[in-house]
Amino acid sequence: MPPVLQLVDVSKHYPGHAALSRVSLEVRRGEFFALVGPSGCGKTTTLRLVAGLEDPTSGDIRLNGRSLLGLRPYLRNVSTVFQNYALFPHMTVAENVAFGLRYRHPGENSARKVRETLELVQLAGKESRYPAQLSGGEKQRVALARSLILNPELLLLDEPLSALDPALRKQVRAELKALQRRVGVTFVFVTHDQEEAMSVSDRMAVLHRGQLEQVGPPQELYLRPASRFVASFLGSVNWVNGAGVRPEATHVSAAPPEGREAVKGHVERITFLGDRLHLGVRLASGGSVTAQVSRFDAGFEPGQEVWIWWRPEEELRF
Amino acid sequence: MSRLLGLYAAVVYAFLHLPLLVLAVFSFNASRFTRWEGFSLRWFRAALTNTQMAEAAWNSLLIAAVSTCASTILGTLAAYGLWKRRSRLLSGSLYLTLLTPEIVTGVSLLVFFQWLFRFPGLQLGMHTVILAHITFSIAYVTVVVLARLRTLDPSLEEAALDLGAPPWQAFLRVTVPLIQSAIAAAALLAFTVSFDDYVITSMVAGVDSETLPMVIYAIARRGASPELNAVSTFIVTALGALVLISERLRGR
Amino acid sequence: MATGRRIAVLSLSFDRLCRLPALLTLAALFLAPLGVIAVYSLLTRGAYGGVELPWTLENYARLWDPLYAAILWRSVWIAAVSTALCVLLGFPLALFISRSGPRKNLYLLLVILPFWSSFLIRTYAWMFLLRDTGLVNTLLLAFGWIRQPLPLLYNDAAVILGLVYGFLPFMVLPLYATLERMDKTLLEAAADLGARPLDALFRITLPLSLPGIRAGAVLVFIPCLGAYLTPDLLGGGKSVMVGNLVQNQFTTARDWPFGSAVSLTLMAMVMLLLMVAARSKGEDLL
Repeated sequence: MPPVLQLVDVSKHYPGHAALSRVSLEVRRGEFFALVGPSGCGKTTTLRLVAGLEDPTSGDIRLNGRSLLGLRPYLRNVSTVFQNYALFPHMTVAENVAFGLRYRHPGENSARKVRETLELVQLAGKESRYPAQLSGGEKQRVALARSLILNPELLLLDEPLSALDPALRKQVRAELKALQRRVGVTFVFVTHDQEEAMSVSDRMAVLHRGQLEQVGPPQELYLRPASRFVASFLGSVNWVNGAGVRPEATHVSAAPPEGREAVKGHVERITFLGDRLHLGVRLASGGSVTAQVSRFDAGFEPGQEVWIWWRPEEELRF
Repeated sequence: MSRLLGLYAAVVYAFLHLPLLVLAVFSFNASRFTRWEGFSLRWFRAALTNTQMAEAAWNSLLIAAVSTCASTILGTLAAYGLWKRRSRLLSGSLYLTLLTPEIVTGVSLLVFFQWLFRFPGLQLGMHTVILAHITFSIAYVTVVVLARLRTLDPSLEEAALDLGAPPWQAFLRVTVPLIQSAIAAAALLAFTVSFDDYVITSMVAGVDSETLPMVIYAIARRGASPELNAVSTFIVTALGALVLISERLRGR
Repeated sequence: MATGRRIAVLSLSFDRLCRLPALLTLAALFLAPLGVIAVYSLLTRGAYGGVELPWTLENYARLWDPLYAAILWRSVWIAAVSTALCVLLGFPLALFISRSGPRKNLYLLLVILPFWSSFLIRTYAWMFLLRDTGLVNTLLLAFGWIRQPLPLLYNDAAVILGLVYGFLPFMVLPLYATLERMDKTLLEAAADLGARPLDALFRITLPLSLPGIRAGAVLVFIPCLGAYLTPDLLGGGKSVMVGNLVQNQFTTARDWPFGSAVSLTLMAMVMLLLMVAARSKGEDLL
């Protein structure tokens, strides 16, 4: 059984700018797959290529093994949830959700399907509202319903959480994950927020300047990054003597630890972050590191001489 | 300074509006001379019973109605096409129709029709006027509709395509409903422009296709006439109302 | 699936299909006729009107004749004066509207409305006012300020008046647009640095409005140059402009080749002006 989506050596060039360079990846059936990277890395371009809104310069895109090249967007069984939701302002919620039915499933009982899908996204009863009367979260659910009602092979989500209030994001994130589990459709989710990507995805891909840096489950990318970029994108990294160590793996002691190699330094700055502290430590050898310390292990003072150490297995080398 | 500016503005607005207001006032003048001799509706009655004017008015309405329908459709489609992809050929041609002096457009169409009609033996008439009006009205429609299209979110049509609608369906079900007030405004504008046209119409009209502006011109050329004042007041009010509605629709 | 795959060769995409009808209409009813008069301008006048061979450049040469050159020159001069007046009169008005706060749309409407109502009738209105038996003369005579009616109509000044009256809105609207877009905080900064309102007007507002002034000037000059109705009604036979000359050649004089040559010369002047104006890019209407 071929994977749901395959990108084979896909490139997209604009005059003077390469948005994607020879990207190959696979998305498996039923996965919640995330595409992450800083802005301009090509993740939205990838989405648009899969949706058919643009054509790749070279390479192939396959859905269940069959090439999508040249196929117009309205003939692909792929559906997109746009970043600004793109709800049709002159149609009610029900009309929005039912919009694509006549093209994919003509003649079916659309009212029933609309009701069922709205129940699925917990918007039952809002059929005759207009988009202008909905909150951001509700709009997103209408966009989801509008796409899901068509039973797509693949659902593409373009930064679905960035338009929401920060307070709402975590909750909606969890709801999206639950929805995907329930429905079973393969989700490809694009975001620039690595924490978001790591928390929801089964597997994720990091893109940088149009190139694929690494693909795999979030733990693998975080704990065993394949490049400096992936390491510093998915979290913070301290660089000491050519090795990388994450702040939470950087231990601080007031006295030199027994049986471990340690580096001497002094506390330059203490940042209180509520549940933890960040200690900015200036090393005797020059350079500085940030160590993450639980607030229960506090007791350090600015200027205090300390020793920095870490477990060898926590080291990141490239 | 703002007080001075306000005063100045009042003077300029007076300059812009007084001539028509004076005309309107005198169309109610009982006397046919420029002396006020009492309020009267006789000139309006005279204008309404003037058969030549009535026929010309009917011609103008017919021509305006037909050419507005055609130019609104052509102009809206052109605006949509230009919104999706620039076309210097089409934009340039449309600009040219707006900037070419009317007399040049008029004589070129006269010459063109005369040349064309040698073969089938056709004559100038209502049909040539309508064709001429469609030609110069398209640009007005396109300008208004394109301005509205540019405020639309392009991802709406993309979403429609994504959901399975072919491009013509995306246009009809999503884009057109969202620009319908602009289309209406453009149509009203095209109607106004067509109804009022004198220069081009006079060059391509036949014997049986006299329009109201042509009649007005002939009377004005001979000197003023109180019936003309009445007709003028009526037309300016009617066209002004259309323009008002058009601007309201554009604002929506 | 064969259908839906893009045909690389000749894609008749929906948007191209939308542009086509207007393009064909304009090609047939606008561009082709211009082509025909271009051809005619190089032919000779026929015995009974119309055109015939031989090919000649005679028609263009005739434009150098003092009689016709004077007409061209008068047209340029009248258009220039009218444009200048529109700038002088229009700028303060545009300024006023841009500073009028919540009533902006009302004031704009008051400028737009007369413009779109009827050019013919608006021109006639001035005839009504300026004739020998018109309102102005009647009032002046009634007050005893003059003994005989003044010849206000049928001269260059009347034409200029009519043109300014007709095209002032064409100047005010782009000027207003430019003023609206101007950064208001610049004026606040100027005031903060000690400039009085009049100083700020001349040193900041005016220079920054130049693009709008240029755009408006082009939009006014071109129709003034090719004006026909205004010089015809308000100038009588006394103030002949290029537009009147063209009309005359195609009706009374029946000299189509010469009329065509004059038309194309007028077009050439318009195009030249547009090329000069294209340097200062404004917002594209189309």
